[in-house]
Amino acid sequence: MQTTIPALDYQDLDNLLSEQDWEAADRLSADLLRQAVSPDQPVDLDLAAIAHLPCNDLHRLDQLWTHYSGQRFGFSVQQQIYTALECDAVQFSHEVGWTPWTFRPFAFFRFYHQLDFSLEAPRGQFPAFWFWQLPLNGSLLAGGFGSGRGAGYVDAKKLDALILRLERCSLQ
Amino acid sequence: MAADSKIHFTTHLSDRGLNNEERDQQVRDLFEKIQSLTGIDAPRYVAEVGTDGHRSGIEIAQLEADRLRPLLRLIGDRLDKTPLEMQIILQVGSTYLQTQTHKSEEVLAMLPLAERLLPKHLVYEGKAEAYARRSGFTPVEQANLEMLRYRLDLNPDEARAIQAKALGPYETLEHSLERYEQVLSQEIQRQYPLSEETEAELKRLQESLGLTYEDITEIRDKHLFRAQTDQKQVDDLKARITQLQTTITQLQQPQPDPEDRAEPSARDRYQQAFRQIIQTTLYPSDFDRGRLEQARQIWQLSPDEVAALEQSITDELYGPIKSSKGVDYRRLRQLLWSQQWQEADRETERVMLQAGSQDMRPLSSSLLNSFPCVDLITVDGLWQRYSGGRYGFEPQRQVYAAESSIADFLRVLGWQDSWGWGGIIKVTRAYSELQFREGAPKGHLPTWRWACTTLESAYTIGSAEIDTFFERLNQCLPSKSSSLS
Repeated sequence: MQTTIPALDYQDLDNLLSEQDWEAADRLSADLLRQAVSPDQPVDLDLAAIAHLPCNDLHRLDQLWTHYSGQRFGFSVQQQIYTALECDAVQFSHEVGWTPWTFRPFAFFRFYHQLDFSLEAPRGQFPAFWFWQLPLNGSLLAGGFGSGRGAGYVDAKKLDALILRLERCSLQ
Repeated sequence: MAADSKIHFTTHLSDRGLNNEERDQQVRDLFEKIQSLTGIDAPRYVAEVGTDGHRSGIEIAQLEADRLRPLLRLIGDRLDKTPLEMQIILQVGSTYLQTQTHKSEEVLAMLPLAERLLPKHLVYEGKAEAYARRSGFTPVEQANLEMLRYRLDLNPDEARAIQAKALGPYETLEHSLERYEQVLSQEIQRQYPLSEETEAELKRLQESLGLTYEDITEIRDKHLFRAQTDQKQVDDLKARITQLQTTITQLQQPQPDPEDRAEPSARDRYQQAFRQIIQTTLYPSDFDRGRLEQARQIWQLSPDEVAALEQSITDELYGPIKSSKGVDYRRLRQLLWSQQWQEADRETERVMLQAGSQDMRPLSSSLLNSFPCVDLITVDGLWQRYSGGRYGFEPQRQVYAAESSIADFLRVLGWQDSWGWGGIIKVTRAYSELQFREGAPKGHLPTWRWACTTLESAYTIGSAEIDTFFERLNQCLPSKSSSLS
């Protein structure tokens, strides 16, 4: 019923991850996610788009990340942490190092360049760029100032949506 | 034997430079100091007028060997400060040790001599026994024993052997209780109720383990109660087995004569047996499963035939689970049957997405438009059946029909709060804040998590999805109210 979607090319991501270039791999992963939703014209990864991410692509991305990071990074790692924290997004963001500190209800995200792009980064810190990448109005709504996620206060929707997507994919 | 490790201690102030009163004063001071030492039993102040004049002193009849050292040191310290001539007499067994001096070194020099007189393992054992009375050795007691061992020049193996003897085989109260419990449960297994002789032996064991009646009451209650209930279960089981044996023989009897007239067919008989078993439970026990398998073989039915028979009876009794998409609804039925509402709600998402979506994408209004009717009716039917009509799509449709706006619909179902005209002020809930139990608002379950993009940050459903869903439901299952009009 659908036009066949050309399979995404994961070779570049494979290379970047094997070189442990976490930042470039992270940015590329976000691009791949956007392409996975709509190959012809990349869209913003909003909640509806996340809900429609093809399970195969999510699975493939996760495999690559967990493989090259020794189970340190990857969506499934994030899902595991999020579930273990009983879906508490503030706690999660702190745990994976997305926020520098937490003083409920206040917690603000780091700027993207402030993340630790090494294997010493907290478990589950990456992939992160898919979460940071926000259109201008989205960033303003999230409390930042057009700088993506940075300096915005904790807003769990996107994270929540992705975890829900992972859960559904695992029901298949 | 512990008595042999005690010392009879006497001291007198023999200094002649003091008058009687001064001497009494000094002795009284010393007496108070000695009293403040721990572990010294009943020091006695003695004063006597003898041939050589007035004498006053202190006597300790039963001094523990290990208290000798602090005592001598105390006296030594006093002599360092005020050198007065003192007489000290130690009696160990039948040996006397005596000194008269004003020098602390000489007082302390008595210690090794005295300890040499005592059988050293007795000294050690005396202490160990005193410590071991109720529980194992604490770290500080252990340290004290170690010091004592060093001083007595006992080798570590000897010391350990003495410690073990002092403690007995069961080091702590806990161990003793454990041992008692173990023996008691063995006895109960061997023979219940317990005989009088056994009870007497148990009583002896209790005493030799140093356990009080209170200590063992709880254990006894627990075990004897369990033994009683076990006994009852065994009796029940025996009765049941006899009963089943009769049933089986009855079932087997018609076998040799299959051409008999109004004999029910094997299929009928199997159906009847299965129906009887499944009447009370969706999960037949292993035992019943075994019975059925046996019956199947006796009546020469094929496994496929039997599976189909069982399916139709189960559906009749527990609700049909038809699907036009090959979705397996058995798990949902079981969860609802066992009233596991939250698990059933999650399972509902799985079956809804499998029936109406691809790649587990949430059900949008376009997907709902063509949702398979058979599956919709199955899910609704199961929920209604196991909630007494409280949960399911039909009760949700009734709320939808009765409320004038989507906001009211969501509010009445208990999915979202809203106030103001047209529900302008909304407060969403997290999915986990919904009520997964009996007695939630009518139509509260199943949730529509299969139409959501987020759950924990907010459980919300688009109004387009709501409208489309009920349109589809009306097509699949005309509502009673609309068919009346």
